[in-house]
Amino acid sequence: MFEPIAELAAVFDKRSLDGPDAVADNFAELREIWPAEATVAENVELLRVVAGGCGPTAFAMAAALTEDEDTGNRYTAAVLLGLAERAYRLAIQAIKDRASISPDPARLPGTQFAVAKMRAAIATMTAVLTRHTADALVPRFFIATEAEQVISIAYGIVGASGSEVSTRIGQIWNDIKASAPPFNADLARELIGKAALGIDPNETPRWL
Amino acid sequence: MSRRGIDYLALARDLAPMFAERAPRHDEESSFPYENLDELVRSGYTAMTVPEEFGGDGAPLEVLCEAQRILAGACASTAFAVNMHVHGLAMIARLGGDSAEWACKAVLDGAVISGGFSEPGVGGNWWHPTTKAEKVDGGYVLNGRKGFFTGYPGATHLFLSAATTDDRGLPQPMAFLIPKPERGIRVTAEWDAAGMRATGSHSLALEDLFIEDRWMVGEQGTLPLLFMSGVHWAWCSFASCFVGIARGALEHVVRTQKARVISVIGKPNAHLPGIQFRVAEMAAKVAAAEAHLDAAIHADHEVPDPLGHYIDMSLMKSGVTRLSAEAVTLGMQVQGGSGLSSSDPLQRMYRDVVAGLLVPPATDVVLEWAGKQALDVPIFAEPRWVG
Repeated sequence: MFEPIAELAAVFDKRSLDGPDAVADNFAELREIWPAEATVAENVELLRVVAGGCGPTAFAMAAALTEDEDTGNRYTAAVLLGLAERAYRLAIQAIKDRASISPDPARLPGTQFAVAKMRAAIATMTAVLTRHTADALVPRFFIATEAEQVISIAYGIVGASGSEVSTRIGQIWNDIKASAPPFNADLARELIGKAALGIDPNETPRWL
Repeated sequence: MSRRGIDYLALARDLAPMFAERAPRHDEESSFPYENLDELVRSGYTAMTVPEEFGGDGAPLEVLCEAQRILAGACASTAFAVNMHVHGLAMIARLGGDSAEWACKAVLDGAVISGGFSEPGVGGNWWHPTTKAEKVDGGYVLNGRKGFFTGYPGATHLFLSAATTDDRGLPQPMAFLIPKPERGIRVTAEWDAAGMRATGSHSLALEDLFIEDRWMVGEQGTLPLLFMSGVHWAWCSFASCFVGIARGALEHVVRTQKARVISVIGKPNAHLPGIQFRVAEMAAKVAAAEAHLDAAIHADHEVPDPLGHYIDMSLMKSGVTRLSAEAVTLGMQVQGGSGLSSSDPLQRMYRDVVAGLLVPPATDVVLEWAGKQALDVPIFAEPRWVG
């Protein structure tokens, strides 16, 4: 199930290097091979893979798969996490590719700590996405913030040098901010807070 | 329900209210909660991790962590003190052999273990103990210092590290589990700290402490490998104590804000948007911390790469304790000035949860190792960094 999607995601990634994301073409190809029998959990994993190739295509697929608010939040969170993972991989590779520079950035404590922080954040995001099953709003709310931080750290360690990798991480930042479906973080805070406090979200007046 | 008929989660829930009631006094006096420990021994809680082959229940990691979370929400000091025992025993038992057998038998008979791997001259580098073990006829003589020997006042047995020097002059770390001796150990400073005040985490001097050969745990020099292989018992249980504090803080804050009515508002504070927003952030952080801990508990622990396993578990502990501390800090902001009052348990939770950031593994070492591993930089290469 995962292999063909991963192969296609790699094609999307290559296409993005040649020019603007061909979202419509990507999406059409993706729909053709998407496993109709996939469970929600499998869709989540597959969307992370697609986000590793093209964020806007992954968001489009997430929207197409969405059945209700809960699956919508979970699928969007999966794409956000996939984008953070992509930024992490790009940053790691970029640092490794600079081994001939003196001092080798991989052997600097600041780089190592930044990489570890990204790695820890991705591990936490993965856990909350896959294990917090009570609702999907909490994972989406949490991941929306954490994914941004990971991408920001990735950008920070590769540097805004105008290099290909910084451009690609910049594109991921753009994807996460501009391609993701609208998300009202304040509304999420209100709903999560009211649920924790046992307040009916439909109660009027809304506050006090 | 266990073979011995003990439901450890139900037991933790039964004991928690009593521990919560005693917690303020022990916190204020920095006194060790002997009566809580007695309850834990009497009820069979301390035998939770004795494997079935040695006559116990062999409670799995998830049960241990959930029970510890419940206790930590009531009295974090008690939970953390007994944590040294329950996880330490699980790690010893996992090794099998004579030391596992006698340790488990002793625990079934009421023994309580406290652990001492931290040392003033070591920082976060626990695998390089500076306590010296000198081989003598029939055993070893230990000299050195231990810090943060959590649970020491209530312990009947001590699990501690030291190092001999091999023929090449290299340190050989080793571990011992010994009945608490009458001679050779001196308390140099009683625990008096801002947080986790009732853990009895004393500082000790080991002065010509003779230990018989039979008290050695594992083979000489294998301590780091043994610890890394079984580290999930340590770091997951550590993390469970601190996420338990955070969950307890969230529940306390929710209860308070639902009940508190300020006259100029006329409705419970829970209806204020700012309260809802911060409670939401608390809830999200607690949920994320719990999820990460849960993932670590259920991860494959029988991996061929002990160092990678150690790093994954260490990253989890660092992340979970950070989120827990952030959640409780938000709770203080929700609670307002009353949260600082000594009558509010939140101020104790606030001081206790900070300890999670400071207990092993040292965060900076975790970040260094995790970063190096991800970047394919040899973890133990010297010099550690270039410049």
